[in-house]
Amino acid sequence: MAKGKTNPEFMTGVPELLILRLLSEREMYGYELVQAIEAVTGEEIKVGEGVVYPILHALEAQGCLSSKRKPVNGRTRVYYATTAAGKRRLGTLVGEWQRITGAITLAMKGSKHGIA
Amino acid sequence: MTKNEFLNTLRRRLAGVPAAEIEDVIADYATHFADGIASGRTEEEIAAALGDPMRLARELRAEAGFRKWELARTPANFLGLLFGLLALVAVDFVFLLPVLGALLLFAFISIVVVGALCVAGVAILIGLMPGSAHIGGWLIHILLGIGFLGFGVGGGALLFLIMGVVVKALSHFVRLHFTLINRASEAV
Repeated sequence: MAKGKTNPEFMTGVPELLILRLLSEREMYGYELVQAIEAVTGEEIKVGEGVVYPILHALEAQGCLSSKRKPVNGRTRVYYATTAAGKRRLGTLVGEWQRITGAITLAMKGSKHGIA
Repeated sequence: MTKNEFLNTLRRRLAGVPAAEIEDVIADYATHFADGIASGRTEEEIAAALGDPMRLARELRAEAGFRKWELARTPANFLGLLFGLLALVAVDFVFLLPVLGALLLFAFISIVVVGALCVAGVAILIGLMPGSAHIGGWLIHILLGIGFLGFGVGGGALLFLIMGVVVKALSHFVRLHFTLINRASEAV
């Protein structure tokens, strides 16, 4: 049904990486985060809007994020921020990402030389 | 789909999840709608961007199952997790079905084997203690009984450890493949 195509393996950690990265700069609420992801990736990556919340809750349950409720215009917004554990996790994810993209870049260069 | 239709479907499909958790989820999405409307979008646009509430509910259910299992590793929570996962897998991750089936079979067989070893160990221990007169046979039986019991208990502990690791890996995989991934690939 809604299955469709799955992303390549190296894309799987991207939303988590983006969320941790953005929240490590400043705390944000869910809707703000969705907009921010689109903005920082030049709208190249669209994270399904509904999915930010399960990830936020999962990361919070793992201790990577802390949340704070703030009343705004008569409503309550939940703001999320990275914890020390979250920053460590971000460091790991960034390292993994750089390793993979580095290897792919290297491979692309290699094949170009091969053809030329 | 309007905001109310979306939230009602989500709430209905989450029945069975702890009430406080449902309220948290509904609050998340209600706020999301409010923020979206404030930035000039229609309810329909926002609902479409959020995706299918039924699918969302399946994912959240599976997620709730993982968390319960991580909190307390009881057989009941394991079964709950498995069924939640099965509902998700059956529709959204069909390719995971054989893996889950194999996992279930492995768990079942292992439990039977471990249980049999324990029963055999105890039977040998108590069945032969009284009455057996001569020392040599008696000692062998005790050692044999302890041996069986040891294998049983050790195997059980090992099984527990393995299941923990497998479930953790599985939860990681499924979490990473939640809607966001598929929606992202549709958009790219």
